[in-house]
Amino acid sequence: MIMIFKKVPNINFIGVWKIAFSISGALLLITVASIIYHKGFNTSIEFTGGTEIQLKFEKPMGNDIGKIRTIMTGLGYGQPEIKTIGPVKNNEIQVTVKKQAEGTTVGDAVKAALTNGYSQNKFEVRREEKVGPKIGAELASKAFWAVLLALIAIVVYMGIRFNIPYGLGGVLSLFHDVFITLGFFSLTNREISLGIVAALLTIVGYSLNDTIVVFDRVRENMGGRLLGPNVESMINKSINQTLSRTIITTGTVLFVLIAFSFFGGQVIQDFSLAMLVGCASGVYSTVYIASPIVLWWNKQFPMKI
Amino acid sequence: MNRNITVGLIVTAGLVALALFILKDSIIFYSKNAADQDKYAASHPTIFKKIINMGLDIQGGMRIVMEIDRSNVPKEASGDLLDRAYTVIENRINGLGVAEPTIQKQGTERIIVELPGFRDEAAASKVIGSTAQLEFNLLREPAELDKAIKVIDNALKGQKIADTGAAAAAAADTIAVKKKESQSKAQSLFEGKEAGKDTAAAAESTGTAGDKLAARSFSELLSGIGEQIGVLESNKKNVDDILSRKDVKDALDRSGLGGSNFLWGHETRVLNSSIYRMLYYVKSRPEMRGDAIKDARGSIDRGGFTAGQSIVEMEMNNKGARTFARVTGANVNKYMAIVLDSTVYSAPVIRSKIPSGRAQIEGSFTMEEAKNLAVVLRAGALPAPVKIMEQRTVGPSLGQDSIRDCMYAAIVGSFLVFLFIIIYYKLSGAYAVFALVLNLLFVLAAMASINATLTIPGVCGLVLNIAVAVDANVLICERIREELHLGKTVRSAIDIGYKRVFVVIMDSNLTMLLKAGILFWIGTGPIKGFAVTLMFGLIISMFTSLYITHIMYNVFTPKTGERLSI
Repeated sequence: MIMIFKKVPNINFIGVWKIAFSISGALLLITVASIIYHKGFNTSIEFTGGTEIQLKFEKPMGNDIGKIRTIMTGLGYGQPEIKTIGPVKNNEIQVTVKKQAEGTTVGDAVKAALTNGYSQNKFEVRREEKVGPKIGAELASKAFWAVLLALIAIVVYMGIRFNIPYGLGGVLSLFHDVFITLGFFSLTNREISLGIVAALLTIVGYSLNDTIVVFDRVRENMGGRLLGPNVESMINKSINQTLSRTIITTGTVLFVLIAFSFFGGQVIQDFSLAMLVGCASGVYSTVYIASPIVLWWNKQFPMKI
Repeated sequence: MNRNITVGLIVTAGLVALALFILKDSIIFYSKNAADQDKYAASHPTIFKKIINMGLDIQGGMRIVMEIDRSNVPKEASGDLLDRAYTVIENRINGLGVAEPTIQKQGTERIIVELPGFRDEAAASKVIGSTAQLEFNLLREPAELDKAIKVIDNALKGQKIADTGAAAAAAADTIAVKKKESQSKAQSLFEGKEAGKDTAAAAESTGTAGDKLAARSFSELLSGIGEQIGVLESNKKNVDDILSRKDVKDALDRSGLGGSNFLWGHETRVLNSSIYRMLYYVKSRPEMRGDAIKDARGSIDRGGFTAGQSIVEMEMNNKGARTFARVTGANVNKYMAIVLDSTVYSAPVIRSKIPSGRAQIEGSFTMEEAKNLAVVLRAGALPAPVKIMEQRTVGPSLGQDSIRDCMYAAIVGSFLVFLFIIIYYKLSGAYAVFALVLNLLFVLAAMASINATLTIPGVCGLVLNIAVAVDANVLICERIREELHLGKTVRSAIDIGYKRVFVVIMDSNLTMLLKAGILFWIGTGPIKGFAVTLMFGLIISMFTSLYITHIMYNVFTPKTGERLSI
């Protein structure tokens, strides 16, 4: 039998919760600071509205971003964002214009200007998106409400299956994971697209699963009760008992995500990155966010036996 | 063997067979390369209804979100603007010839059009740009239709002679030119011979082409359906080709049948399991236009022979009523086609003169069809302008790249996970891998059975599903190990393991199911896609992890077994 632990470990996870809480607090502060510094998130045109065109040139264009930028600025749509996609040898660029215009005017103007500027080097349009600001705002608000309602439903369900402090602990740890992931994207100034929202939903699901596994074990160890004087040692015991499972499951998920980051193209890479950060945070938050909240509640409202 | 185990094995085998049966079409379709897929889709018109379709973000194509522009529409007319705009847009999209377009109404203001594999933006904006044309055209008499078909057939047969003649004439010109040149050259004779040979060759080749056309004469492409004619859907393009030929048009004009048009019908009919599209022969000059109509609605007839049937009531304005009275009076017992943007929606017969400006269209309509026809009639009465809110085009090459990337990542990722689980848990790990493979198979089959579309967020849902299913199996194995360590026998370790883990998996999966349900309920397009795959995945993984692996343990673990491969 290959085993990570020959016998159930006895690590005092909960004992250091104050240190962990401070680390989380610091990370959340950095997140907030970064969001304020960057004036909100670097959201994709799916949320802000605008036009985005991805082009692949036939011949190498070297480090020609400067020339493209000059051409684009000449169009009078402000400062369009230009970046290369994949390795330079792909000759692939993406132009993002956040300014609005009627119909597909912006896209047509961008393509026409590039056709003129690169008459010797033809390009193929790989992707073109035009989103009106109204649609973007709606999408953002719908995504927000969907996630918020889902979180409320989780508190209620866990409140029924466990009790209120467990539900609260579980959901606050989900908020923690989402914030940490958003903070990572804000700090590295990565773009938040619909794909990243899907990744956030996936993280919420994964982190929730992790929390429930540990909480369920606590309930079992306490013989069906949930609060009481020995809850701290029981939570610690449960985390230790499920530790090998946590390591294996998280390990396999990391396996898959690393494979995705290596082999999955541009579309999947940012998604995998979000998942890597979020899943790590999800495992951490079960121990250091959800559990301390249950303990805090237990102390504030002691059970009368 | 225990009876429960036998039942379990039969259920599992049955489900696998069912899943493979459902996925049969998807497997056949996606194992072909792009060109063969197109061919296959052409010969199997209903294939896209049976397989898992790839979303626009994966396979490429176009998506347009439109919003009704009410600014120039009088208030009293703006009631069913969305329905009218929808009808007009649907009609034009169907004319684009995209394999599997979807056109949806969203709320009261929006229409979403998705065109997989399509990227002609100019054609797409034409769909939205111009206003709808509703016209009433008289159908040509059956005798005239017969004559037209004969004329076209003859024109196609005459093709052989006419073409050969033209080619020979052209060739003769060349010879003449060359002869002129050759006067100043010594090799004139030789060149002349060469040119002569070319002429013969040219005549032969046009001859063959002419024969081919004769074999596919126009009348052979037509089938009589009731009093009208229909064309096999797969022959539609051939008919279009013939009708757009200049010689065919000229022949029709010469035989006194000018000023007429062949127009396609909107409806298709299924006869002997083949799909036919109606073809109408109408006078080009409309008798009346859409602006004559004041209102139209679908309703139930209250009196007469057709009492209780669905009908369409149409009301003309004053000017329209006068025109309509004249036209109906002069054409009793003839057919009148209702034509929207060159597509015939209905061709009722005129029973009598209608002087009141109130007409009633009868037919074997369902209420739905009657309502739709009323919308068509109103669509022409007033243009329904739309604004583009969102337009996305994903080029097919990007789509193919992302499919390839996804496949690589999925295969490599799953392979690593499966390998690890088998090494770590040995035979018990193999049971888990078996359950995971079935899990994936069942989820895909479930998606194919509801004809779902797989988008990138949908793939995310699948990834989460696999992660959770792996976790369920790890939980089971770890728990069994724990119980074995406590000194339990193999049998009771397995039973206790499953009993304990059942609660965790239920709690975890039900919470996520609740979450997925809310996302499905509130979320838009991409988030819905995520929710759908996740919901299927959660329900199915509970079954595969808790039931199928349990059966495997029961089958392969002897009752007296002292050791378990875990």
